[in-house]
Amino acid sequence: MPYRKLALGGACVAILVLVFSMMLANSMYHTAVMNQDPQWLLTQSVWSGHVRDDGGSLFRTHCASCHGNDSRGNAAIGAANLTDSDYLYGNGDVLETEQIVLHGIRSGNLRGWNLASMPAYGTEKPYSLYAVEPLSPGEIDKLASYLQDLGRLGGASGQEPDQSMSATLIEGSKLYASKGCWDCHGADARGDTAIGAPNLRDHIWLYGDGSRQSIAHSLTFGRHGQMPAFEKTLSPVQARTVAIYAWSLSHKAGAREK
Amino acid sequence: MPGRSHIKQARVKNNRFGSMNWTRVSPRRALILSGIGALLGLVVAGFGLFTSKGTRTFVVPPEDVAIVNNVPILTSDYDALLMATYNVSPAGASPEQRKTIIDAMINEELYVQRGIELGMQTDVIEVRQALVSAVEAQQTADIIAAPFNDEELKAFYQNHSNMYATEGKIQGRDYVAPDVAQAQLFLAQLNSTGNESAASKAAAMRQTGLFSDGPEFYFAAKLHMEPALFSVAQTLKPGMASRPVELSDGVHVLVMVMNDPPHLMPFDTVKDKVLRDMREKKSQIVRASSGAFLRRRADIIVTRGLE
Repeated sequence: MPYRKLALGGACVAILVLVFSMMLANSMYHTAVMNQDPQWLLTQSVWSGHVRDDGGSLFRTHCASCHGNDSRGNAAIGAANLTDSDYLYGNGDVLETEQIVLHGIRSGNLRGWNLASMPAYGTEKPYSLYAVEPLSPGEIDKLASYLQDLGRLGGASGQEPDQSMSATLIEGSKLYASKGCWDCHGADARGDTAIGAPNLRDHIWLYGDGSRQSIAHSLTFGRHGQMPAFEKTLSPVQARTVAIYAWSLSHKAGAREK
Repeated sequence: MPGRSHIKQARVKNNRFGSMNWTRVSPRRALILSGIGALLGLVVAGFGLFTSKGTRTFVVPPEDVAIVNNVPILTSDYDALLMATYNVSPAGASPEQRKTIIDAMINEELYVQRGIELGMQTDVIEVRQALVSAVEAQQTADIIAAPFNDEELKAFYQNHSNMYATEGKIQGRDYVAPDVAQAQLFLAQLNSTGNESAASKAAAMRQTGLFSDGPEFYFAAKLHMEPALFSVAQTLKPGMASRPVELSDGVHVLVMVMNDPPHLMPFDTVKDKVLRDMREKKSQIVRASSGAFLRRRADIIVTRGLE
């Protein structure tokens, strides 16, 4: 009889110790995730497995419907490929990614990226925030041809069109300079990560496949991609974890370079 | 009997508690111990209830860097501000930099709390506007963050197909004559010879220069053409000539070169717009119902005449 009581008492103590240990480990994990350098975390075998597992699970639940189960994005809705090293906003740092996870892009959250969107140049009122002149179908075609070939038009930034280019491309480059495209995408068309304007010279397409037709569609109807704000959906630890996970996707061996 | 022998072995003798036998059930002892526990609980509860700081967290959780009057300052905000101010990671920041940022954030939190105490959410327009925007964003955050599937999007696309049509494109050559007779002569010549240039010379028609820069979208053509001419132009197929249309500057005949009326775009082409529109529609419903809910639970009195 005393052995049974002893065994029962021992089991209770063991359960309590186990629960307490799990709570302690969880607390240590949360502290490590929030207080340690995120990139250092991934080099520590103690934590990296947890981060990848937790982050992967969160990603599949909240992110995969847009960014895809393979994290390679969805060009039909402008969800970015998270496995390459091309970043629309900032430089892809974990903390920047975390801010995007928390506050979103054009999400309505006041702390999110809400700076600009691509005007719809083929409509009567291309842009709601201020007056922008529409373009004609011919102008859109020329601009689309120019943008499609932009990567082949010489490596130097800001290169002026020369006599070797076709008349269409020369017209397209003039339209780029005169219709305000440079205002967001830069005079050299290399984009601006401070406002999320894509680089137009790198053959990485957020929407479509880089064909003249899909570029013309973007120019005609505009683009207003939206990333939700998960500030109220995810806890701070979860947001940091998924940001570290997303960062790790573009920083493993074999990630596609810019 | 084995049970009694066990009890005898377990009996405590001559210990500092006297002859208390812990293995024997004692209702009096149980009552005393329960009473002590209840009293201890009351003391702890009373201390927490009546001390000035009330319930207080003594440990800052890992997701926060500070707690000001029970309001947390998030680690993510601190890290972001550190990066934005000094362009350093939290691990690379100096103690002075960390202190500057945390002090600034604590000051901000104290001022926000003080502002609420002073009722600035009632008086300051910018605060009110920011609060309204923030509440609206909060109402729709779940909708925007909710996962979606193609079936849902396709259903929305099919039910709102009028939102996903192309902008029509049109191009033609617009001729004008001083009177109907010459316009009809032009049409007769055109029908018989098929030579537009010769027919226009024969009828002394003048091109107006409309569409000289190439095709135009329907919305632009509407602006550049008289309504009567545009409504006729919409019906023409490429190669067709319109009937004479009398306008204020003469009689016009339009020869259509290209007419691509608005048509429904494929789902895959407009998927991003469908997603955005679907979210916006759901958000509108939520905002309306939230507004109705707030009104229902509010006590609102409106002065006579403004009900």
